Order: sequence, then structure tokens, then C-alpha cells
Amino acid sequence: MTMDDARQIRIFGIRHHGPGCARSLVRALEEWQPDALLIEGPPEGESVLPLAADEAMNPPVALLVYAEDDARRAAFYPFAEFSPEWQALRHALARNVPVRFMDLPMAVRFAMEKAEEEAALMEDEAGVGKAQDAGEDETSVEVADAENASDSSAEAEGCDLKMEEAESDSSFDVADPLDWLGRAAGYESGEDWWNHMVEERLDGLELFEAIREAMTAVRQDREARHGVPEGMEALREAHMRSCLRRAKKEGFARIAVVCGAWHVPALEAKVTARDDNALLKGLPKMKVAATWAPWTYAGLSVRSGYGAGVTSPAWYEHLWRAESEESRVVSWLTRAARLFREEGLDCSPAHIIESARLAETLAALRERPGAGLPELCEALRTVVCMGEEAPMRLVERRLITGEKLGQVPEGAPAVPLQRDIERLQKKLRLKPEASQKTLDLDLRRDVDLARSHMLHRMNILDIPWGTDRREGGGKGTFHELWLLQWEPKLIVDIINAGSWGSTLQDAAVRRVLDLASRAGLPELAKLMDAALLADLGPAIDGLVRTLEDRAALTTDTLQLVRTLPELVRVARYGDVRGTNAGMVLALVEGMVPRVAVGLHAALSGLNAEGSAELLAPLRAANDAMRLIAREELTLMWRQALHRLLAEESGVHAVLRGLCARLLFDDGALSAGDVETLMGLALSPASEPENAAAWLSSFLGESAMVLLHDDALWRLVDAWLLSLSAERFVNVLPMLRRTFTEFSAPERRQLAERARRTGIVRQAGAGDPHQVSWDEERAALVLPFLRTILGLAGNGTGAKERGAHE
Amino acid sequence: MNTEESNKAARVLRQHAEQQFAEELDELRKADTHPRPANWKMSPFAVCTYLMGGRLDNGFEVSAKYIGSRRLMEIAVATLATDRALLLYGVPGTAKSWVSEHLAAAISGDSTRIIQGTAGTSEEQMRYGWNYAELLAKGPSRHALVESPLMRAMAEGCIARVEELTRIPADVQDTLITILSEKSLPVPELGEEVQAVRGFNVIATANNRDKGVNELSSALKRRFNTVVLPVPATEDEEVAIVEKRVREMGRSLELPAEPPALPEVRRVVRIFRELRNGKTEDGKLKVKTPSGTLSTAEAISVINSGMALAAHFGDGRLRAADVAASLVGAVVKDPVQDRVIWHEYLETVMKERGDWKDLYRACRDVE
Repeated sequence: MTMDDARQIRIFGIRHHGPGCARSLVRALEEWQPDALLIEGPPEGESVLPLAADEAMNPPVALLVYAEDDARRAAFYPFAEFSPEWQALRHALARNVPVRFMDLPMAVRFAMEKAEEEAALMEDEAGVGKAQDAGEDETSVEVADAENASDSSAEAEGCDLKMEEAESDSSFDVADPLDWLGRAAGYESGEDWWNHMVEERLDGLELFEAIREAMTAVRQDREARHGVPEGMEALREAHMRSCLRRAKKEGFARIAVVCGAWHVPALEAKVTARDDNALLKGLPKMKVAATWAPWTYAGLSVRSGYGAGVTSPAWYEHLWRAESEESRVVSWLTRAARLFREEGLDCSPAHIIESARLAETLAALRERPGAGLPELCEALRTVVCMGEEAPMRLVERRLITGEKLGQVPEGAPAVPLQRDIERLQKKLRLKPEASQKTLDLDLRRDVDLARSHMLHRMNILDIPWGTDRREGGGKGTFHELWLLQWEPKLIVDIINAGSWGSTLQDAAVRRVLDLASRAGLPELAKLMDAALLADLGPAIDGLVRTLEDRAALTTDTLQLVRTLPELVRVARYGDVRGTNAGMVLALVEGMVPRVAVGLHAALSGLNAEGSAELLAPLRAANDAMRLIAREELTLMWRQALHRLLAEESGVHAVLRGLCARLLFDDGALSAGDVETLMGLALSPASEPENAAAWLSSFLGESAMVLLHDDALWRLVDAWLLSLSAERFVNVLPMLRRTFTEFSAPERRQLAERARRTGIVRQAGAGDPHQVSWDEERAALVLPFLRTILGLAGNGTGAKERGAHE
Repeated sequence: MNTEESNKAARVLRQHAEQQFAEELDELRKADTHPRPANWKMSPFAVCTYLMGGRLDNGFEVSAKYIGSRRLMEIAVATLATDRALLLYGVPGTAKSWVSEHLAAAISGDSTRIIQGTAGTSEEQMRYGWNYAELLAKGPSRHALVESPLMRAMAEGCIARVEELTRIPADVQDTLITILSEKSLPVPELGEEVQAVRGFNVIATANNRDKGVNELSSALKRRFNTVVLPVPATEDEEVAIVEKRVREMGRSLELPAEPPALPEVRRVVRIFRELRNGKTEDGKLKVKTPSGTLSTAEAISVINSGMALAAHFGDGRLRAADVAASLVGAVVKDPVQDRVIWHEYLETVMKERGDWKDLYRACRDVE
């Protein structure tokens, strides 16, 4: 860099989200009064820059850049109040100093990424043939946590706002050069060292010079080991340099550059404009858009997977706000004390005084200028928590990481859908919050019903704000339990869903209809359920029609069987939600006869494996038929099952056993009939495997029913007793096979019950129903029984006699 | 220390920390440049070095007394420097008393101002008693007063130690409150008080397993900073502790045996860790946990008695058979339940380890 440059340009190497850097930077800017500001950020963001000065803008917020035709390709540049870039931005905007973002445009990065993916896809297609999955997975990673991807494409996500040397550059084997510097200075980690040297101190205008020197040394060392950086990093730095050149040409007199400390040496390096331009020439581009999105502290922390994250956002905010070192310690400890008290832990002002003293003594012992976060935490744990770790987790969650959620002004560009969702959130008083919250909705109240509709609609659009906990709760049909947690990344999902429509309802309807046009029958039924839950009236007609058409045309009876339970549920419970489920009932009425006719053909000839898969759907369908309780339909269903019973039907034993059981349970088969069937199925002539399959599906998955269902127990018992000793020995292997499927305690209980019945039988001379009564003694308790049963005075002779018998 | 004293010191069974490590303390004091709190024999920084070990600027090597987290020791030392009392808390055998003794030795040069807490500890033992002959003959006077170690420590401005604080009945415990908050001990019979001199402080130790026996009152709790001493985090750390202590004790007990071979120590430590953690070190197999605490201190004594056996009845080399005898005794504390657990461990874990055959057989022979 020439002397001329030195007067015209100043490069401030910072650590992203470092409050100490921010403080020093603000001071330096105020002193130097630059007339242009270049920030490491995506140039596309410049269009929304003025909003950063808006009063309603409340960090943490993120600059969101996304590809217009596919919002899943998106990158966030988060800013907190204590981020140096943010402070520089506010400084420049307040003084009408032009601000430029000088990083490589996201348009290029996205396009390069896409090209890479497509190349990878081609390879995959040639190789494994799982191309589709791979492609989808990769993009979803991008959105979910773009920073996690471990190759250099992670950098391309624009989330590289850390000290960039720590980035996931696979060629760089030692994780973090800050760690080298930190360890050289006798600290446990680079993080601790940096905090003490930079972030937790209040002075230091020479800071930037020192950082520059340190980084130059580290980079030289790295380049000596691994060579000059290539790929994305080289491109980015070339672009930054050419931006700087352009600004110089435009004739600014004092250009301030704010970028990650890692880039400082590169920006000062002597590289000719021609070399840089050659590197940047002919790069692909994509159409992108930018806006602001609210962000959270949790999303700023490294733990969220954000590569440039910091470990303690809330602590940094505290550092940023605190005026002096003493007030910093005391006010933080006081907040911790209030937190402990809120949670019912003893923490008096005396505790805080002692903690502060201990923290300061510890700092002195460690030869640190003031108490830092580790000292404060250790002091709290020792003085307040009796050395226990558990209460400290609370401090960590609330005061170190923090739960703050930012806000963006209404004027920020947004897809209409986002506006509609915000409007609904306000109207229904459902505030997006960063912490997890349970919401218990009583669907009989209008507002709760509307909330439920909203959440269901968002789920249809794959915007997972709330998780439906209905299954777990089981409180009844007019209650819904939701788990709400707002994550900043939801904004990407919203923008993505924006392509379906401009209001939540429209978008959801269109999405459902679109899904329906491609869905199979069972999925259609699920969609129907979802649509009813979300109260998507206009979609329901369409869905019913599609369902009818498909049901009429389908040749696959089993699909109909699978669809039935869902539809019946909709028809039965839909009314609770004030939706018209009549249409669905009509649909069911049309479907059952089709099933009844086709069932036999669909089930015969299946092998053991295929048949076993059908057990659950058939059981569910049978339950559905019971639920709907329409006699003519039930009759049809039972007749269909009846036809499957005989061995000649060609249906596998496992299904025949199930049918026998279902019909027996519904009272459509008498005990005698079942005994005959059982005898046949388990006769010596049948294949042992088939016999065992029959028996096990007849008895069901667990022994509990057998244990507690008297009728079933007597039936099996009677059948067993009817066997001759020789037959019994023959059948034994099959029985064993079946019974070993039950758990050990179940088997024990079965054996105990068998013994009990045996005793009763002996006492009662073979028949438990013919116990001999001592009539006189029985009569003695009758008056008292009558009192208990509330029959006194009624003279119900009939009941008395009943008791006698 | 003159020759007579040092001769005497050499004859005693166990030397105090300040005697055993007199040279180290001396060197540390000489090299110490950091500021010292009043009446401290060395700076807090030097105390940490004494505990954790390290090399002084003049090249003198200080041995480590505590193997574990440096941060914990720093908290402990800083606590004493703030004149808050220190409570060392943890399961038995995690070096609480050991740390307390060395802290007192380093800070005050005297670790003998000690009150052993028991169920029978009385207020007189905590505060002061009377020489009744003197009292009857001449009436209450300073002369008739029998000072407790605590009272003496207050007057001299040094560290007092209270061992097993939670074994002491609650009402007696509470006599500490005035001492710790007012830093004075009134003697109403004489109308006087003893005011603590700078440098006075209390280190108490208490046991996790005693929780709820004589729980500290919240007033007393508030006057202590609590440092929880954990069981060693890794096997290597624990092996290092056991080996070091065994070597030191072997020296002081003058056992003619060779220092134990590392593999033997490692095996004992592993057995202890596995039984204590309820699973094997590789995390693949669950084992039952016996009723004893199986602390590091017990592992040390197992190796020690093994060495004594080897020295006096064997060839001077620690072998599996020497370890086995005391090993079984350390594990099986409850003759019925623990024996079953031990057998299970023998048959399922030890037997499977190819190179543990000798130890396995030796353990079986002990039965």
C-alpha cells in the first residue's frame, strides 16, 4: 500500500459480532469522519440499506438474500446491536455517508453453487441413481443451517462472518489460529484470549493496528504451509479489492473499510487490477432479492451451527451497553440474581456482593484486567449455587446466550404472504417468540379456532412454526395442544410459500390442490383431513371430487382400504370444528361397497409377507367401520370378511386368523364357529407355519386381550381341553411358536390365569358356572347388598333371584 | 527447623504437609513476587502453583498436590483471599481433606489448627473450654480458659480447618455463624472477646453422602463459598493420582517393595471406575454398582496394602495376588449384596479380558 493510499483508505479488521471491536470502531469513525464506507457484505443488500436507520429496526436482524426463483437458496447476514458492521452502518447512515457492500455478490455465489450441485447431481445420477434425494437434501441443508456444510460451499452461504480463518477450509488442518495465539498467551482457548484482549476492554484505538499485525503473521504462516488461498476465498478477496479500487476512482477522500480481520492482509496485498478482473470475469449469475428478517440470539450463537457465531450473544450485548468495568460486573450479577429469584432460588444482595468480590479476586489471581465471563460464572456457581451445575444452565440460557428476538420495520420488502401472516399474528394475538411455548387451544372458542386454523394452514405450507401435539395429549376432540417456537429461518419458508398465493388461506388452498393432483388415495384422505383442520372450504369441494374420481377409477382395493379410516375419522369428528363433513360421509358410503366387492380378490394369493403388512390396515378399516356405525355398511363389510374365512378362499392363514378374530369380536361369529375354524386351522394336516400364523394373528399382538377377554379365553381354553393327549402333543410346537411371541411377564400371567381357572374348575366339578350355593348364607348378605345398590324398599324380587342364581 | 526437630519429624508416621513439603514452600516463598494478603505466607498465585505444581523461574520443580482442574483450585484460593469461608464438598475420597491441609499449609504455614467434626463435637470444642481446677481455685480468668484450635487461629491470623462439617450437630455448627460474619468470638464470662486477626479463615469439608444428616442452616450456608471436588474425570488422571500417592506413601512408610508397575495400578483404577460408573470403560457393558463409594483414596490404599504384602511376604514386586486380597475387601462392603455384584463383575467382565487371567484367578482364590 502506498503512502497515498494510507491517507485515503483505512481498513478496520474486526471480528464479526465483537462488542469491543464495535466500540473501538465507532470511536475511530467519529474521529476520522470518513466520506465513504465499504462493508464486507452482499452488494445486493444495498437496496434495503436505508431501512437499517429506521426506528422500528431492532436488532438482532439479518440481511436476507435469496434467489428469486427458489427461495430455498438463501443466505443470512445477521447483525446484532453490538456487531461492528451494524454500528458502522448506523454511523454512516446517520451522516449520509455512502455505504457499499463489497463482498462477492450472492448472485454469483448462488449461481456457482447451483452449477456445482448440478455437476454433483450428474455424478450421482450416473452412480447411485438417488439423484433426486441428494439434490433435495443438499438444498434443505442450505436453508436449515447453511453454515454446517463442511466444504468450501458453506462459505458461499455468506454466513462466514467470523474470523474467517476459522472457517471450514478443509485444507487448513489446525482449527483456529486464534487458538494458537490464545494458547501462546497462556489462555485456555482463542475465544477466552480474544475476549480478554479485545472484547472486554474499553480502550484501545491502536486495536486495529494490533489486529492487523496478528492476522498478517497468522496468514503468512498459513500461506507458507498451505499456499495462497484459492477458490471462493480468492474470488471474494479479489472482488473486495476491485470494489476498493472503484471507490478510489470515484474520488472519495477518506474511505473506511470494515471487514473480517482475516481479510485485512489480502486487501492490502499488492495485486494488479488486471489479475483481479481476470479472476472475476465471466462468473455466472442468478436473480436474487434482499430483505431484512428478524433474527434471534440463539441463531447468533455458535451452537446453532452458525459458522461465524459467538458463544455468548447476550453477554456481548451486556458488554456493549456497560459503561465501565465495575458497573458491568455488578449489573450482570444483579440480573443473574433476579433470574435466580424468579426461579425460586435464594439469592440475596449479599450473595451478589460476595460473588462480585470473588470474581474480581479470581481475575486478579489469573492476572486479568477485570472479571470476565468465566470468572463471573465460577463466582455465581460457588457462592450462590452451592457448587451445583444445574442452576447455571438457566444463566447460560437466559443471560449468556439470550432469548432476544429482533424486529424489522413494516416497510421492509416482504412477500405479501409474510404481511398476511404478520397481520394474522397481530389479530389473533399470537406473538412470535424465540423461546418454546405450549399453546392449549379450546376449539369451542372462536379465537382459538381461528388460531388453530392458522397454525394448520402454516403447516400445510411447510412453515413449521407450531407442532401439533394432538396425539400425545388426547384430551378430547375440542382441545389442541401446540408447541410454538419462532425461528428466524422460518422467514425463508414463508418466502418460499409465497409463490402459492398472497394470503395464508389462498396459498394453503392452492398448495393442497396442487398436492392433491399428484397424491395417491391414502394421501388424498390425509390431505382432506388437513384441509378440514385448516378450514380450507374452497379446497374441500375439489378434494372430494378428486377423491370420488380416484375411488371410482382405482383398481386397487387395498388403497381404498387404507383410505377408509382417515375418511371415516374426518366424517365422524369434522363436525366438532364447524366444518361440513357431510360430503365426506357420502364419499364413504360410496367406497365401502367397492371395498366389499374387491376385498376377496385383492387379498387372495398374497404370500405371507405381503399379507402380514395388511394386518394393520385391515384392523384400522374394521375399527373405522365400527366407528361409523351404519348398519348397511357394516353388514357389507362383515360379509366381505366372511368370505375370506375358509381355507379354500385362497387367502393366507395370517389374514384368515385376523378375520376370524374381528368377526368374533363383533359377535358375527359364534364361539362354536370359531372353535371349528380353529380346529381346522390347527389340524395336523395343515402346514405348521400356516397354523402358527393363523393362531398368532387370531390372538393378536399382545396377550392382554386374551388375558382379559373372558369369551376369548374360554374359547381357547375349551378348544385346548377338547384335544386328545396325542393331538395336543402334535399341536404343541405351533402353540409354542405363537406364545413365545408374547413377552415373558405376559406368558407368566397367562399361565397363572390358566392355573386359576383350573382350580375353579376342580372345585366346581368341572364347570365354573355350576358352583353350588349355600342358599341360607347367601341370603344373609342380601339386605345389605340392596342398601348398597340403592334398591331398598323397591322390593325388586327379580333382582334378588338374580343374585341367587 | 533445627536438627532435633527434623529428626523428630522424620520419626513420625505421617508428616504434616508443611513438614513434608517444607523445601517447596520455602522456594515458593523466595520466588514469590506477587502481592500477598495480610498474614499470608505467600501470594494466592503461589498457593495455586504449590497445589497444581509447576516450574519456578529459578528452575525449581514444584510437585503437583492436586491433580485435576486448575480452575477449581483458583476458585478455592480466591475464596480464601476474599475472607469468605471455604466449603469443600464431594463424595468421600475426592481429596477434600488433602486439599484443605495443603491450602492451610501454604497459606498459613500451619495445617494443625483442626477440629474433627463428629456427632459428639460440642460447643466447647468449637469455641473454648475451661480448666475446671483453675476455674474453681481462682475464678474465671483468661488463664483458666482452654482455647479451641479455632480460637487460636483467630488470634494468630491463620487458617482453621473443620473436617466433616456435616457430621457436627446443627446447633453446634451454628456457633460458626458469629465467627464467620462478625469475625469475633465473645467470651461473656470474662466480658471479653477475641477478634480475628487478618489472615484468619475457615476451610470446612463436607461429604455428599452425609447429605441430610446435619444439613447446614441457610444462615451458615450463606457464609461459605462451596467448591465441589469431582471424582477424577478420566482414567489416566486417576491412574496418575494413585501412582503418585502410592509412591509418596511407600517412601514415608519405608516399604521395601519396588514402586508398583503402572499396568497393575491401571487395572485397579479401571475396576474401581467401572464399578463406580456402572459400566465398562469402553461403554459397552453395564455392571452393577456396589454400596461402597470406591473412591480414588480407596484405590490408593488397595495398592498400598498390596505393596506391603509384596514387601513382607512376597518377592517385593507387586503381583495380582497381593492386590486381590485388599481389592475384594474394598469392593465388598455389604457381605450379601456386594458379594453378588462382585462375583458378577468377576465372571462377566474380568474373566473375558485375556490379559487379566492372573488377577481373575487371584480374586477367585481369595474367596
